[in-house]
Amino acid sequence: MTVRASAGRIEITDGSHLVFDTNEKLFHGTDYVTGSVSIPQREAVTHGSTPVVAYDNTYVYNLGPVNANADTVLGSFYVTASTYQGVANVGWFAIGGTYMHYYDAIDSLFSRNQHVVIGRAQAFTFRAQAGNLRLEERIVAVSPIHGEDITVTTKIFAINIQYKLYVGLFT
Amino acid sequence: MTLKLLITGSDFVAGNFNARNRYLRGSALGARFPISKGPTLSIVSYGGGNGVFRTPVVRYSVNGFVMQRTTGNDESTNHVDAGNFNAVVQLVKT
Repeated sequence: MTVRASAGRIEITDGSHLVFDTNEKLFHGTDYVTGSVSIPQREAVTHGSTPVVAYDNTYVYNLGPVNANADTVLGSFYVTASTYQGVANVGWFAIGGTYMHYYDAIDSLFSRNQHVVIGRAQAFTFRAQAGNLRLEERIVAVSPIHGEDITVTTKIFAINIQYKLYVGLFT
Repeated sequence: MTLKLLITGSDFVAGNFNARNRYLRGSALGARFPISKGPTLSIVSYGGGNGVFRTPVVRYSVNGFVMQRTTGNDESTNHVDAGNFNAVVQLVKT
């Protein structure tokens, strides 16, 4: 172990490994937040070749205030649902960027290579911005297009997301 | 008595800080992995001119690693634009 302090800089090593350097940034956890948030069911509807209800939306769920300078979210989350879909009811996942909950392949009758293009997608991101912790849901969804005079509804079921988060910043 | 400061030939402990631990240190120099500060993936809606056959196009981009879809339903000729999204990250090491 070595501690060096000179010219306004402190360095601490463990053996040859640098552990602490005041010239670097360290993760500073400002808030520990736990809770849950419910995401409603999404239904995309198509009648014939006309989308009746389609999604190209970003929904924001405010989870409460955090430190005004916080911009990094670490931690874990757990997804539950009454109907199995996506990766619900599986286990705790680490948070780091965007979590893709659901996607499926397009099933347009006019696709030459069916099931190779994503048809519907739903993803979630925890983020800290301007003193607020929030969950962003990004969804793009269209129900299958076809030529018949019938209505087709595609459902992405409701889920509940439990979370245990360390919110902070590198300072 | 609560330990506040311990300095020996092999240890440095100050409150919760212990030189034997490994901390996340933000540094571009010698960084080992990125930690995102927001989304790591973007989903854009791509469709034909009439907007009917719109489908999601996904682009994952973190610290120079990019995976994205660039072709449409016919795969070979119908190139799509997945956007120019890049995740905001903090490069770290321990």
